[in-house]
Amino acid sequence: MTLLEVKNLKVEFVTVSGSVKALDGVSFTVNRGEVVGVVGESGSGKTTLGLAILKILPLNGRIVSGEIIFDGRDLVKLSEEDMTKVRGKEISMIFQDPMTSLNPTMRIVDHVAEALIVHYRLSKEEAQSKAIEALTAVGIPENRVLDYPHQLSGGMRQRVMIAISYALKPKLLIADEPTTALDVIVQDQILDLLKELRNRQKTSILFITHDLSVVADIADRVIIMYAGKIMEIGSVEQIYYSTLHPYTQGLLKSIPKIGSNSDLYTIPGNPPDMLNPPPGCRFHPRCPFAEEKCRKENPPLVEVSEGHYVACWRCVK
Amino acid sequence: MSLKKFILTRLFLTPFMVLILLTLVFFILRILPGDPVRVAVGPKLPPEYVKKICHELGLDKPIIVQYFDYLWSLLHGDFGKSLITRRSFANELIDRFKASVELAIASIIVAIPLGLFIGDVSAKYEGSPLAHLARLFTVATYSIPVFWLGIIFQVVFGIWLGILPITGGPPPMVKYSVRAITGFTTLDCLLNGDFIGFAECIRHLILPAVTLGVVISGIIGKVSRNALVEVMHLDYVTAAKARGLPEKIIHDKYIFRNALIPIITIIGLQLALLLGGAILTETTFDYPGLGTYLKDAVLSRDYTVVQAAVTLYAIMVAVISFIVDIIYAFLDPRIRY
Amino acid sequence: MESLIFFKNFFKAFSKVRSLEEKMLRIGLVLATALILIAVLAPYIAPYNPIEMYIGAPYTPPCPQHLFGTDSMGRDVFSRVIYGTRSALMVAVISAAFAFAIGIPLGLISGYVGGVFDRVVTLIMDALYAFPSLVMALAIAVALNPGGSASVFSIILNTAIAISVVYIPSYFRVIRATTLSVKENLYVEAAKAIGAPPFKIVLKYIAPNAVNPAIPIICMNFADAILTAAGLSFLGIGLPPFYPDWGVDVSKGWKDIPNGVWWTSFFPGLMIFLATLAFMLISDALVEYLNPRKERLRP
Repeated sequence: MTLLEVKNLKVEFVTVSGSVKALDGVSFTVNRGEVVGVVGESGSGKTTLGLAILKILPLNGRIVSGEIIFDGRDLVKLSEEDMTKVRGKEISMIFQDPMTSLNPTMRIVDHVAEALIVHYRLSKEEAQSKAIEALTAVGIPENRVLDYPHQLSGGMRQRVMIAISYALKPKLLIADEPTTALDVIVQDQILDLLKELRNRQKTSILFITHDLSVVADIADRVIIMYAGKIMEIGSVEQIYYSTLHPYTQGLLKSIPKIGSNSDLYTIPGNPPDMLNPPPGCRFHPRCPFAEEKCRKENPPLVEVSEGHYVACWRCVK
Repeated sequence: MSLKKFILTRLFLTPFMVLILLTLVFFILRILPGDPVRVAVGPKLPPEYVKKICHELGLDKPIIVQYFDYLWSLLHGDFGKSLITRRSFANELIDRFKASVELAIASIIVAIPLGLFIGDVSAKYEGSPLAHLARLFTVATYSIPVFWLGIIFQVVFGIWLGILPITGGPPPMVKYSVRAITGFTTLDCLLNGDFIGFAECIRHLILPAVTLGVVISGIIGKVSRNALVEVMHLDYVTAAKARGLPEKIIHDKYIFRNALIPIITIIGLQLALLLGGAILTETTFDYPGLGTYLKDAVLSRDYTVVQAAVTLYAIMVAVISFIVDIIYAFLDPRIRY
Repeated sequence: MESLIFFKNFFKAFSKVRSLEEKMLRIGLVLATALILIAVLAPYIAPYNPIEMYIGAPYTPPCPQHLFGTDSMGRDVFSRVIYGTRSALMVAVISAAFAFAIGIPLGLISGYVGGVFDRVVTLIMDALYAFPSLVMALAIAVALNPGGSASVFSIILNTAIAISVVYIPSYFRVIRATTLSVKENLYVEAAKAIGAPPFKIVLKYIAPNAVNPAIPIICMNFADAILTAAGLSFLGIGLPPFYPDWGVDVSKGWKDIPNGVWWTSFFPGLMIFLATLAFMLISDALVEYLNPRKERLRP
């Protein structure tokens, strides 16, 4: 059942001003065919999580410790050569900004065909026709497949990225804010496309976003991240209707509601400086319920009910 | 915009660029203080004589008239007459130009592979000692006075080791004995089957070409490193990695291909400079190219020759920037479509 | 604000040596400081009068009395090299000042005003930029120095002007690009909306942003000016032969090489190299240092 199991993953970045623990002991699982949403503000480490699973962190970042068990293998221990076989073919990723995630000097059909040639050793012609098939399947008209990326709209380019995944048939798709840069109508289309992909190919999706309302639309389960740590994990129902963590509550309150006249709620304070994160619970400086213990000790992530995990001293008493 | 339309538009713009450069050259040489004729023919000559020369060369007309005269004669391929010899010098100019082209090609053959290698190493292994070394090489070659490097090479290879001649350019013995077909002596030797002459020409090309090549490779290396590093961090490279593409494909098709535009630009600029004759290198090696021709004209204040040589540079710059733009269009579909 | 951050980083770079950039910056700064000191203190450092002939026997090889040997006229090469720092730095400072004073306002105005003015100026600047700089400097230097007996200072001034003309486009391009991008910012729009005069907007909101990109160019301008000035005097344009100048000395000393006399051209050439290197190192390190890409490495 379990496809991906991340255990106590720690990722560190070395910057000019010091080292940053972008992920600090992150553990979760993704089951086959499941869509898991990862929600957090910018700087919470959610993008790093995606890059770390594929082991394509920038030069100054590295996995310090932890395991990433994917389909029975620990990716952390895998050689770079074996890793290239996993990337794309077994785990693929789509990115936030479709405007910049395609090679401007390559026709879109070649993006798909090239990946097919590399991973499935198809001939040029086969790859080409399969690529066209995949592109039309995600809604790109056949007469556009020879276009260059700059000739397409943002939504279309995101479709190309999805088509690459569609063609490679990976077991897991990491979608890093795939709809953030798009306008609302296109957002819906892309979400529908991802759902279709999941239904047709039984692909698991790790859906990274800052937007809780998008997650409700697509995810089965939700992971809430804050400052490199997981705050809460639960099914969509658990997260929305039996919210436990004060941070999740804050996030939910700050979703604008139609028909409401009151001012939009914002969580007070700012995300912590990751160079010098606060001691104890990372959220305590912004938490309305913070107590002495929260300032000193870091709360562990514990299962409080079936499948519902939370890291908050208020819930572990 | 189709490729054809792009090329036509660009072709249409090139004469304007030439015109701007020519105008710039003309007015810089003319508007600034100093009376060129008096300086050229010597301050001691009687004023009537100076007047006569001025009249002969059309220098007594209003400057605007002179300007149009200059453009008009250029259109006819007429560079005017030398202030000193008062003879036409077009043939000499073309001859010198051809010699400079030979040197330019030889040095660019050295500079491009070396420069790209340096740039690639310093981008690919960013942060490693090897990359630092490559980086320092580019800064050092940029800072080294080319004539000083040339002199060092002359001392080491010409005097101490005695393996290469310290003067550059086709030796006169070869130049005047070989039957001229193209006017490029090295090429003529080859076409006439004179392999000894050819080898002699190459031997005389090596030192100036390597001197120039090393200096230019530093510039190419610096620009290509920056371009490669810039592209390396772009999203589509990360995306290509995430797709499991092999290193080689990512490097060639994703990084290098997209970094080519600034690299081509700098190569074009350098080539324009070289084709016009690298004045300092040519002087160091006593190479009979356009550079030394210009220098001699400057030293003897032969103002019309200076103007003609600089005009040739201007045309070269415009032509090369046209070619570079056409290459852009082939490289970058965003320009083509 | 921008420049404040720059200086903060600048001093940070000086306190802790970490990356290659910081090492380059340090070496460059030390070399540049040494050059400036040499230029200022030349009379105290140089053991002999640089233009006095037959101080030693002609062509004395380097020895304790004459560290860098003597030239064909028996002048002390070391003293000439020390004094040569003066004309090199003078040309660099004057040409940078000229290019800066013209290129930056032109870039600011052209970028801010836009329209036909911008297009014409940009076209001229592009043409100047593409033109081989030494040829242009040569042409201008010749036009300015029509020969005859000019004072040494006026020759230096003219050489500096010739070089500055070549360098104006570099400032212009960078500053214009900065202006164009800053112009779109909300705070500039806001200032316009409340009716601030354009002059004030450019000076108060746009110009400060141009400080950072201009600094590496100034250093590069310095380096190039030293190199170009040396090239011009190597060609025999500009300073008279007796004057202690690196380029002049290399061009004279170069003729001694077939006789086995290498020191008369080697040392002045080395100085040109080191002086150019100093400012190139600073410039190159700063370009990298101020590159926003570095910031992106943060998670």
